[in-house]
Amino acid sequence: MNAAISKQNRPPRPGLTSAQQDDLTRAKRTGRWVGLIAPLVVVTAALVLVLVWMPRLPRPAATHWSGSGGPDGFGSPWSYVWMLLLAGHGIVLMIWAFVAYASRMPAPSPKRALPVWAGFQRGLAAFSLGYAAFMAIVTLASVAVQLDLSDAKQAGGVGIAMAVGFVAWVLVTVLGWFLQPKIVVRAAAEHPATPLPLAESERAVWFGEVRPSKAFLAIIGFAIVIMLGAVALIVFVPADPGEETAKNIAAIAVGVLLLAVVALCIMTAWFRVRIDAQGLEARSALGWPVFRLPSDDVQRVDTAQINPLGEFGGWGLRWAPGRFGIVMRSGEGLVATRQDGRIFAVTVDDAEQAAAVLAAVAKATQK
Amino acid sequence: MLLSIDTASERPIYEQIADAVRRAVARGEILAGEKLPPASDVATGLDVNKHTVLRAYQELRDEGLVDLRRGRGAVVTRIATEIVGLHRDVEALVSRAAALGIGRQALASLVSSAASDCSPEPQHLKEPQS
Repeated sequence: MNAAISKQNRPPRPGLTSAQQDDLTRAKRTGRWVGLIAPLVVVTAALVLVLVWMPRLPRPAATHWSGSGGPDGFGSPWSYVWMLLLAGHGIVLMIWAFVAYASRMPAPSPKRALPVWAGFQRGLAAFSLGYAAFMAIVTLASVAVQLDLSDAKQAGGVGIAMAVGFVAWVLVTVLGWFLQPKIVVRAAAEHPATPLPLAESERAVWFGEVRPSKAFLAIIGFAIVIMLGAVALIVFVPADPGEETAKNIAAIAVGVLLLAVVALCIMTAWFRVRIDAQGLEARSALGWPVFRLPSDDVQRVDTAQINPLGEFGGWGLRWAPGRFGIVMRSGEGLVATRQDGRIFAVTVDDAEQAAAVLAAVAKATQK
Repeated sequence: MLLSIDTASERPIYEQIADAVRRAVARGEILAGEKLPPASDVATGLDVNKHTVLRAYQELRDEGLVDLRRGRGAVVTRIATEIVGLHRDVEALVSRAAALGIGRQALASLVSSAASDCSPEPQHLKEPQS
């Protein structure tokens, strides 16, 4: 009934057939229940209960626990309300914005090769429900342990509630995943690569690079400067007598962390890409890690405009249900679909030529 | 950058690899100051011996298109920029010939005879014109 109405009312989005539009509408409808309405109901219910309990809370109330003991931070009981609104409702709405609008950001483009709905959206919606369950459990447990106490210091620990919350997060996410149908909607307006015409006796190899965007480098640079500042502060500010060892340990710890961040960034931000008869190989500038896409596992190759944040949830090496990407900037890239439908994407310059070579070698293996 | 060879061709493989690099330079796929892919990568990609690739790189070095330095790899020299300009001129020439109805063979022989008038078979691009 509903489907019939939407069929009449909504013309298909550009690039989608009307059957695909119906699939998308159906996927979004269940997605909205699982990833938006249900999580909002859960955190709102928790909020109402906190408000009901408000008169029974000690002032100040316990607001922070460390380890498994009693509380070590105190504040207004209203902080639970603000926290639920910000970290509960706020995060749920933010995740939904990703689910609903990721495929259109920054602007709807006919050059998007990634599905407008797939496991990525389904997984995010399910994750949101799990997160809402976690928030509700942890908040309510923290409030419940101090009900009717005259002094919040007498409150017990919340370690077990935290553990229960994390388990619920995982279980409810799994539940949310299976509550939704498995639907993949890909726009028809894709750009399948034209295979490079190669005779039997010809061999071709393509070389390219995945490079980080300037914005990414600026953020990393900023982080490194901050950490260098922290090291300098620890090294140059004289320590109290007897705290020399602590000071040295802190300096070494921050230094090691700094090195680890730099190494991780180089390891995941620069990749050399080679496409040859074997398929695609992306090797980190440091030599490791290496990712391979064998040519006989390539079902189709597209060139596309890739939007790392919207389609992969961020920059770098990205795993999401049904898709893997080495995506370091928005813009053109190569999107390969494996035989089982999973996606392998890399952001490279001159993606058209790269896709043509990969399409040609994939075609050659299927002969 | 795209490199391709034809194993059925009479032309030696190392010459074909050098040609492929020259084409990539002319198309602007690799610019002055950038590094050519390591010879071992090219060898794996084209399923040829690494020494064949190194021989091609040496030929490119001899004509001044790349700088071969130990530990730094094969870096494309500034001549690349000139070659990109030359490539544009050639494209303009080809389209002008096409507009005049001059065939490929005729144009090639025109260019070839003009080149032989100019100098006896220049081996090295970087040789000064004295």
